[in-house]
Parts: sequence; structure tokens; C-alpha cells
Amino acid sequence: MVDVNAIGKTIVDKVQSTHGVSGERTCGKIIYSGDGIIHISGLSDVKYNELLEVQGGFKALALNLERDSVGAVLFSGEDKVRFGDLVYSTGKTVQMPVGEGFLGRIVDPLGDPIDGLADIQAEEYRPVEFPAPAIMDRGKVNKPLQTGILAIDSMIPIGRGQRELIIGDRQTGKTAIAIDTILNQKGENVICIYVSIGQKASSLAKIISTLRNRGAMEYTCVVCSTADDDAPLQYLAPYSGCALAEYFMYHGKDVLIVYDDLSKHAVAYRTMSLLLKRPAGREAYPGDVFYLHSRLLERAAKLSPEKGGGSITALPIVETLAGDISAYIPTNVISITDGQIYLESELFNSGVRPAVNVGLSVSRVGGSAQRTAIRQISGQLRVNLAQYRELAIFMQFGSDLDAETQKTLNRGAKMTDTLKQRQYLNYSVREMIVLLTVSQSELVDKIPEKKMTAYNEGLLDYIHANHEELLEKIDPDKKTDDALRAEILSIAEDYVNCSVGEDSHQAQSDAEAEAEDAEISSDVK
Amino acid sequence: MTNKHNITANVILAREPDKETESMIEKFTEAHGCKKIQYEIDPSIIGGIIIYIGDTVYDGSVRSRLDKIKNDVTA
Repeated sequence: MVDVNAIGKTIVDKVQSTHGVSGERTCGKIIYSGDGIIHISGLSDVKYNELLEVQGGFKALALNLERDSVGAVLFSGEDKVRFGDLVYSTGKTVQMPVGEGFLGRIVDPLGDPIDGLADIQAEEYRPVEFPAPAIMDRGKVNKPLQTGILAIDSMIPIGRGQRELIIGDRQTGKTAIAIDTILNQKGENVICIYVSIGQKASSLAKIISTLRNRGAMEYTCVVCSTADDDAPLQYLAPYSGCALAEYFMYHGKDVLIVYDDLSKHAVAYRTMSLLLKRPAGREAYPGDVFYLHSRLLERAAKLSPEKGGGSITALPIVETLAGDISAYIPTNVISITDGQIYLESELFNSGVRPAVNVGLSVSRVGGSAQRTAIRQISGQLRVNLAQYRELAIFMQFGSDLDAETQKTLNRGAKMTDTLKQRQYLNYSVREMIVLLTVSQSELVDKIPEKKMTAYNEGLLDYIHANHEELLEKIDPDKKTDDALRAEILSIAEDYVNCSVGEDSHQAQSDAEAEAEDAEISSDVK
Repeated sequence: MTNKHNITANVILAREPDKETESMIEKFTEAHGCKKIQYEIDPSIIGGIIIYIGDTVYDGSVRSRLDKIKNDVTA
């Protein structure tokens, strides 16, 4: 039921509030319009990055200030502005409305909702371009951001306030990792912002429905620009998302922001720059493409306790072509971020999912934020895995193996299998401790080859069903002592013993595992 | 533009100004350093006045107010 009186009152309020309309403004005339770019004569006092208003209510952004004209990009109305139309300065830079009301919503880069729901009440407006926190305002990254993905949380830990790049070819599960991380923030008091830059509307729709169905939209806002949006909107999207994130950070909250993806952002900026006739550099990107991303990612930070202690953790995504991480944009973003998660198509196709290349992936600051119990086991895991990889490469040439080498190889393969994880199946910290403890023990020798992943899932189900108290006993912030480790292992051994017996009678599990694989490949996009 | 002294002020009105309005406009433009005034009659602004001095526009027209209301209410 629509309340007519309320609508009438709103209109009256708005009409009354428009009293003090436009006093003194500078204006100019459009002398060129094409490809979403306008040149304006006049507008002598306009500033760089100022928002302009074109006759007819369209918005534009002033980017080139020259002696006789101003070059600007239109956010909308490319086909409606005419030669000679008036353009007014606004005296403001582009602002993004921000507030709690944005959680659960889908908005465009100017902050307007596009999910067909009610208007969003903005609590304040923040400039989309904002200086990063000063050095003295920053605190130490000391709290982990759990992704729920074993391979990442154990070996490439991410801290709140860190910038961790997710890089890889197309179809290697980059977005899947980001989405899993968002899903894992449920109940962790972390606000998530997913910024889509120039993505296909179909994949975006799929992501949004995943977030909705799994109850993640309550604490998430999606800022989206799709592939058919004009380049200026795609260019603006990450900065708008960041402005929204900053609102929460300066209110003392922890925020996770995903930029999906920055290669398309660079392409959108290249389009604008070339059309504005700025000189082209390497790969035709303009000279300031490094600054484009560095100023964005510098805004991710952990604030000091005096400043409220909020944080923005950034997960930028970059797509490589044919695994080439030495291309222009990947090298730029790698050097800006505090580490990268490198995904490989070869691993992905051979069934290692998430397809994280543990050797090439690093986290430069997250280690100090890792939970004590995880750090205790993961150091060993890293060494063992490195040893295994070295040996595995070496063994491709030899055939005769002594028993000891064979054992190391088998264990290594099982460790790799432990790190495989289905999409949307996030592990809690305690579950990770159990899995890591088991994978580093002699127990793995009893588990048949290629069954490790299924065993891990089964083991966790078994523990949840019969030994919930074990998980409660584990304290992630303390070292796991020998007694506790023995208890974990004895429960795991019980499970292994009874399922190995079962397994010899069941031939169906093979088929099951295959079906599972097929399911994963259709899920991971 | 810093030098406004030699430029003409463009004044747009909905109908011919009377003497009183004219003297007010002269006072205003003189205060902004303009000696010459060029009048233009444009009924589409409905009422009020728009004055252009160089790049600067002083827009007090009824039409722009209505436009603003339209934008605010429909936004």
C-alpha cells in the first residue's frame, strides 16, 4: 500500500529545500563531443577531477585542463548532449553516498541502487578520491582475516589491513577464492564490499545470487559496473567502493574489499586516456597507470588504536594472459600489494582446487597475524611441501626409488591432496588445525592414495558427529601441546581404521569422487 | 576570467525589463566590473533572470528552479 500523504510530504520537503538554487557558477560551452568525451570552452576556474553538470542533468568529470578548453568524460548521456550545450562547474569532486544502509544492496559506481529496492538513506557523502591514511595513523597488521581456505590460511595468511593480490589466468578460480572469503566472514564482524569492474552481467548475476542464497548479503555491498557500462563508470567503480569501505573503516570496523578485476580497470582507464589524447606508453597504457592502482591500494590500511583501529583488507584480482605475470599490469600490481596468491591453469586442470601455486604465492605481512596454533604446524608444512616438490621434479627422471623416497613422495602427494578443497566448503580455524595435524603425521600412510580429500571431509563430519568436545578443546591462540595432538590423532586413527575397512567393500566411492570432481568443475568459474 | 572590465554582460529575461529592473541590473553588473550590457528576451525561462559575465553565470531563473525541483523529486 502506497502512502500518498508521505509521498506528498516528501515532495513538499524537497521543493522547499531547493529554494536557494544556484547563485554564482562558472559555465562553459561544449565545443566537441564524441566517444563519451566532451571538450568545453570556458569553465576557466574548474579544478582537476571536478564534477561537472551538463545541461539536461548529465554528469561529467573534468580530466584535462588546457589553456583554451577543458577535456571531460561523461558518466551518462553520451548520445544526448549537443554541441553548444552549457556545462556548469559544481565546485565538488565526485562524491559517493555512504552509510549502513548500503549493506545488502547493489549499487552503481555513483551510489545509486540498481537492485530495484527502495532509496538508500546516505549518512554522509565521501569523496571517491581520498588520501590514504598517513603513516602515523596506521597500526600494525595483527589480526588474521580467515579465508576458510586451508591452502591460503595455512601458508599464505592474510591479515586485516593487508593487500593480497589474487592473480591467474582466466578460469582458474580467482573469483571463487574471493567469494569463498566473503562467505567465510559470516559472524566474523567483517563488512564486505565486492566491486565488479567491467564484468559480464551474467557472471555478476550468478555471484550476487550466490551471496544472497548463502546469507552473505547481510554484511555485503556490491558496487558494480558491467562490461556495457561506459569506461568512466568502470574507472570510477573501485574508488567508489573504496570510499564506502573507508566510511566503515573510519568508524572502527573491519572491511574486506574485493576488486574484480583490476586488469579491466586498467583497460577502462586506457580507453579514457587514449580518447583524451594523452600520450600512450607501454602496452598503450598511459603514463600514470601505476599511480592509478597504487593510490587505490594505498587506501587499504589498518588504523592505529587511537584512530579507532578499523581496517580495509583489499583483495585485488588481476587476470593474466597465458600465465604471463611479467606483463605490465600484473607486475605493477604485484609490486604494490603485500603478496599474491598465484593460481595456475595447469594445477586447476589436474584437479588441484583451489589451484594455488604455493611456491610462487607469498604473503608479506600476514604471517605476524596468523593464529599461533596454525603457525606452529604450517611452518613445517611449507618445508615438507617444498621438499616434496623438489623431489617430485627430480624423480621424473629416475625410476628406481628406495622405500624412504617413495614414502616422502606419497606423503607429499597426500599433503597436496589435503590442501584441495571444494568451493563453498570453508573450514573453521579449529578444523584446519585438525586437518594439518593429521596431514603431518604418520597416519597418512594408512590412507589409500587419491582418497585423502574425501577422508578429510569424512573425518571432519565424524568429529562433528561424535567428538565435538575435541574442537572446543583446541585453542587456536595457543600452541597445540603433545597431549592434544595425541588426542586428535587417536580420534583420526579411529576414523581411518573403520573407514579403511569399509572402503575395501565399497567400490562406489571412486565413482562418487569422480562425480564430485565434475561438480566442482561446473561450480568453479 | 580575471579581467571582466572589457566584457559585455549578457542578461536574459523572460520579458522586456522595466526601468527599475534595468537600474538594478546595471548596478549589479557594474559591481562586477562590466560596463556594457546586452539584453536578450527568452520567454522559455518563465521568469527571473540569468546574467552571464565571462565564464560566470548568475542563474536566478524560474526554469532552472523548476528543473532542479524536477531532478530532486524524481531522483
